[in-house]
Amino acid sequence: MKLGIDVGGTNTDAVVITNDGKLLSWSKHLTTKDIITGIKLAANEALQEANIPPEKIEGVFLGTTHVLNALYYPNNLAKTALIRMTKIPSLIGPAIQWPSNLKKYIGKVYDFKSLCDYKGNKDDSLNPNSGQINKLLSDIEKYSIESICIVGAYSPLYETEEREIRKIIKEHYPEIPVTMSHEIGSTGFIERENAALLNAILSKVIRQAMTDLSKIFKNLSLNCPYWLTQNDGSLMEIHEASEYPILTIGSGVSNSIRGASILSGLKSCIVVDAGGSTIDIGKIINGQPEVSVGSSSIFDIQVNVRVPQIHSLPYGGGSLITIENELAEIKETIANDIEQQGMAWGGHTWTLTDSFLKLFPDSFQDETLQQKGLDLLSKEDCRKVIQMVTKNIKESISRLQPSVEDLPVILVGGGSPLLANRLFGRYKKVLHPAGYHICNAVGACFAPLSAEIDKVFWLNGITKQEVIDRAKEQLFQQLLQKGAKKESIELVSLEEFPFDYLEGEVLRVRVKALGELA
Amino acid sequence: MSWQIRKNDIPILALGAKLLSCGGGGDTKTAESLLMSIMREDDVIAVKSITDLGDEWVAAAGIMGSIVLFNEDIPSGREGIRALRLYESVISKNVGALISIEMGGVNSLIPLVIAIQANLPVIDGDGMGRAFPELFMTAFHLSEIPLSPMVLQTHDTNRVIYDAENAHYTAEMAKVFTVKNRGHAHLVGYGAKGQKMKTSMIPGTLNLIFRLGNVLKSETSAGVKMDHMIHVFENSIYGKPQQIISGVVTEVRRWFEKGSLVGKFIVEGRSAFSDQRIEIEFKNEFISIKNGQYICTAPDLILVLNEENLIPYNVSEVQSGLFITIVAVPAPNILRTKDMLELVGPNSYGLACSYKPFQGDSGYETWN
Amino acid sequence: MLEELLTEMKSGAAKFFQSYPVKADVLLTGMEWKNFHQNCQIASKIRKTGINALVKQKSDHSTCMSCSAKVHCAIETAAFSPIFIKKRVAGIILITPIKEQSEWLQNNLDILELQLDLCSEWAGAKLENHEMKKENNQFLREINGMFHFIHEPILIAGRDGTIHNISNRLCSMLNKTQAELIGEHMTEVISVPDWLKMAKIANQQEMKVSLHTSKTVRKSEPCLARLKPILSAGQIESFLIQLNPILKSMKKEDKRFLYSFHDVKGTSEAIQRVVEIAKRVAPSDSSVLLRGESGTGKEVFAQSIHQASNRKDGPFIAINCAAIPESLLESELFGHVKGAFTGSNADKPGRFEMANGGTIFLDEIGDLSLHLQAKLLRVVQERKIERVGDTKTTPINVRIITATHRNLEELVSEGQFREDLYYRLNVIPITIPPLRERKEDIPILVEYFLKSFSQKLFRSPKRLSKDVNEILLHYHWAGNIRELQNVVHHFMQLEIGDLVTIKSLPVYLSDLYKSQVNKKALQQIQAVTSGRRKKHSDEKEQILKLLDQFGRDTTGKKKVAEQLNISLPTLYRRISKMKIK
Repeated sequence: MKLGIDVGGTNTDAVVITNDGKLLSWSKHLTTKDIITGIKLAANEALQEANIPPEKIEGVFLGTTHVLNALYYPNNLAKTALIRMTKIPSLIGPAIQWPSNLKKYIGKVYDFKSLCDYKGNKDDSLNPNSGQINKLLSDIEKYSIESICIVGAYSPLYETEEREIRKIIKEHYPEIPVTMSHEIGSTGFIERENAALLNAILSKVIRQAMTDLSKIFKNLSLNCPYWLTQNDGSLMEIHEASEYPILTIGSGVSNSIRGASILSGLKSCIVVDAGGSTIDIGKIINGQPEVSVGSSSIFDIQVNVRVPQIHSLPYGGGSLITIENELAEIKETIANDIEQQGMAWGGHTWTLTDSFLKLFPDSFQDETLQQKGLDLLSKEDCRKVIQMVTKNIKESISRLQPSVEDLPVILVGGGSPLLANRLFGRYKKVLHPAGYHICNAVGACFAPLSAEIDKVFWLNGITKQEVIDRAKEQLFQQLLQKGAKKESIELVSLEEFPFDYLEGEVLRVRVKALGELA
Repeated sequence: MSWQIRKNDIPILALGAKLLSCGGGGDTKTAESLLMSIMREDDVIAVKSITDLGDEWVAAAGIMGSIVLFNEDIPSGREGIRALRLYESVISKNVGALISIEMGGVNSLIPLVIAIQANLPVIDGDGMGRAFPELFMTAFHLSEIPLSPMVLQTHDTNRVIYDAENAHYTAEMAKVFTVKNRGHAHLVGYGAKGQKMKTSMIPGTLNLIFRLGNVLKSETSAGVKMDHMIHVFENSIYGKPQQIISGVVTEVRRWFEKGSLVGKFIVEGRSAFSDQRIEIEFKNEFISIKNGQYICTAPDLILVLNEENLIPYNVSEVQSGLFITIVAVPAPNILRTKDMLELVGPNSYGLACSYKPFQGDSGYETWN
Repeated sequence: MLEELLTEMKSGAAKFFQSYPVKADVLLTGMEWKNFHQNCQIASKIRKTGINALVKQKSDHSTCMSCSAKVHCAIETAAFSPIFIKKRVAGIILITPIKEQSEWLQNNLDILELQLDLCSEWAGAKLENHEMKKENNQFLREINGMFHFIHEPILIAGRDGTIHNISNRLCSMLNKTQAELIGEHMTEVISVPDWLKMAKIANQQEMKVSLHTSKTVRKSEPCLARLKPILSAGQIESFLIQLNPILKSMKKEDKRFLYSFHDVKGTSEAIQRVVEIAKRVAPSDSSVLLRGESGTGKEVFAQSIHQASNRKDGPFIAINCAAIPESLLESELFGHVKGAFTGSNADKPGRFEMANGGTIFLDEIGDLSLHLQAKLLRVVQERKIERVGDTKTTPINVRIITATHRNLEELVSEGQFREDLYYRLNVIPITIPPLRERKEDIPILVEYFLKSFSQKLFRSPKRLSKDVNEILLHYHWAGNIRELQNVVHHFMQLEIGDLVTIKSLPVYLSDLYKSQVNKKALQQIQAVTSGRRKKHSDEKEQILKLLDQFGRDTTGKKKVAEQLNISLPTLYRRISKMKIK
């Protein structure tokens, strides 16, 4: 038995579900500002409704955009000190082109000299950084530094220097979060530094959230592992997540795609998740949501972290509609709560949902609807809005369709009843499965475990195959340790990137394996 | 007529440089960040156009080696100006203006870094008119401007290559130096007087990447951007671009071959292009478009763009499932003549075909 | 797929018998039978006959005893029931006792019989459902594939008007994509009344409808619809519709190529500033006066302004006032009626009338006689014209763009140009800069002409030698872009190799180079060039010579103009100025 929780922008949903995917109970609460209270209420209710004793729950699975929201509304993030380790200090400043409300959290910058040659051989006779380290240690207290970020050039090739600095800091300040860039990203100094810095300034928020969550679940007598889903849709234990907040920012979307696949029973399909502020369209093939490769960006900050490959339309059911130059336009602004502000509920703002309800009043089975509220809207305007929305959705779908054979389309999300039977004629398969509104919580429960190695190796006396085999073995061990079923472990990707312009052979290997939770 | 580059223009130039690089040329991120770090809001870089060139000594600047290592082992930011000063001492002359070796990717920006530090103007033009993999694949070389004396500068070491016999040999020596010294280096070479540079360079390319960057940055639909991009290329020494296909990437294969990133992928057409299938080959850059037979090959430009916003992809960014638009652009004639084709034509990339100039749906009309 | 189904059926069958001490197994034809002998005689009998079978005790059963596989067969006691799809046996449900319960089964077979029947019926339904799903999927793929594949403009619409499928061909006629149209309502394709009419039709027939063919505006085109309603239980369920346009060709081909602002080459501030001004005034109906030396591209600007205006779908009519003898010009501009003068044996509309609803471009307006200036002034003021020999006036709606290379202000002060007309025409003056004032545009122009001529003349791509490059960059270009074009044309025809050298330049340019080659100051070329103009009398002589050589008809004159690197209008002007007959 699993307890799945999804913390959305408006609602927090909790579900209890059997291991083979049968839904036992569902409860919903408004998301609270601290997220914790909402989770507590929803989880408690779901457990009671399912009439399941807490010890029967084998795992709690949580998806949340909490961390991403902390970046949207940066408040009380961690004041961070950046340590750069390079041969020669660079004129390139850190956090170039960051929004100022995030950049202000980078309190201090230290340029340390890298003592390794580029093959990773360290010259131990030198110790020019000791003075700076002492300064850093005293600055931590003096400037109330809350988090440390270490970025060394070539750290994906050799991580010893980052580790050594971390060790020294931890000896003096065992509690302070220290982000090491080689654990966050691969080659590409600036992008790795960006990702590592974001991780560092988020460390306070996530620590607080994770500590609180553990407390709640303990109070609910849930003595099982607690999992959080990460960017690529796989699971991370809560204590691990608090070290790597940056890896959890894209967690919501992959859950909804996986959930849609579980609810519909289809392992390969295209998923349209119609939410309040966005409509996300993604694809799942053989049970795996597709993820992007290469760098991606968060608020136009380039980072080398993988995020789900999702096509996001910048509007959803709560988007406001205005008429400009006789043309209906969908604005980026969102009604706080359409059930308060939407015209169909007696409010005064014209939302996307209202436009659909004007023409298709039976879409929602909601007795609080007042069709009269929509009298002010013109049918023709609403038709135009709907046409534009369905056109954009259909175009996004057609981009994701493989050419050989059309995949079925699954509609999920709170706004999906508006779209059911509205997208295509009868010759395209469109499913609107029961449970469509809670597919995020369902999806979280079935996320796999993952392990990934993305590192650069010197082939000193070993062959490429040996490097790869060792990496694979390491992944399998990691997955088994996390609790994966041995027979379910499989290698999902293996990429090699050789380097040119270097003496000797150097190889970057990226291997990823997945396994089901036992 | 000269113009000026300001700090705000840098991201625009970087984007335009990526477009013109045809998938190669090296990622611009590090050089862009360096420029954004060292430029003040009121700094300006003067740009000299073809008619402003006179007696001054012009030298070409850039970086060579592995872009992956350059982006990892970030520069101190002073390598370029040190290379310039060393170069000046070698030739016992002051350099009066800087020019880019290749207007595509990172090397579009390197001369700007040195220009701001040395307070020199840059020239609106370059040696390649796009990105090519080797130092000698330039119009400078074609016009017999020698690559040497050339100065190489890394974080902590440098090297001067004096009067080498030819550019191929100089380039070879430079490679040996680079491999021995952390895999990347700044360089200054291809020096000539303004008058000579004027008739040797590929003119107007800095202005072109600026105009292209502005189109890509504009907040408008892909269709409108495409129209604007076509018009910008039409009003340049290139030619009228043609949209070849829009569709989904499949079957990406990528491998290394003697230091070059080589591979191919398939594009399956969608909507207006459904039922069409195109193969793209790449070797450092995108080098051919095939549809059973070759439609377009290097040195004509092959651009692989994000279908939604026309932001270009480089060869390492292409992956299955991407929705892309492919555009072919006729190269300036200087790249399409026999002696230049020996350096940058389809055969030089190992393609088994002879070069056929890409005409596009040419709207060529002469007056009267 | 089938494996999955089998697992599902096995666990389903097990549930049917879970309260009895038996095991249930499902054997499907065409798949491997695990734990059961493939050559079982009883099974093959059931497959042929569809009869239930019971084996109480293998040793007592005649079929089993005659079976060749009896030694390998593990079964002692069993019940068999066939699974049917469409009356055909597609598999077998097999019931065997669990350990040490053979006796129970032997004694209670009748109790199990009903359960066994239900189970095989369930299994049959399950199998049939699976086959139908598969068939349905295939059918869908075929239908969707068909609509991609065929070249007929057809669609399928539901009774409610939902478009269920539409062919690629029809989509391209409608300028939309399949993704956009599938799922939309028929009224996206045809008009509302047309659809209402169509929806009532109960038998196959044809009707005329209007088709929406534009993405933005509701533009429609007449179309012939062939319609076939598809009925189900007497009710119309959907329609097959084919839509063929009645007018095969639109008038598109009639419309000749006109220049637009994108054809103005050059990035210099000098030219871009002028383009900006021209773009800004283009949408209004104001009169524009284009000024600039000959060869700067005044007509290109005139056409571009027209193309960027609201009149772009109307006609663009150009006339060169210097190229037509005055006696003919009047009727050319305003038209004439039959018998207005000798030889006028029919009514003929003038250029103004032809330009109605569009733009008229009057080139070399400075060469217009005072008499015609007066007539033009009336048209400009009253927007009415009168054909020669007619008293009736016709209102016209024309935008007037004029051009001249002459100094109109001087002509006005000399009394050769009417001041009132000057102010009327000079509402928006646009001066196109000469090429020598925007030399940085020369590379773009040269490259453009290089590419266009190599395509036209089937020449390999060429590049310029350093010397040629230098001459082109420094030369004075009195004949502006036209002269540059002629020079490129010249060397593209002459040069065989890839490299354009001095030798392939027109003689006057290569001479210039030779005479300058020893002097280093190239700037002097400029001075020499301005002095290049031959004296009036020399020029007259040369023109006469060339006219004799090439002839005096229009083609001949064109060649002469080409030789002199001047435009045809300029040649006409000079001819009239020099009083050459």
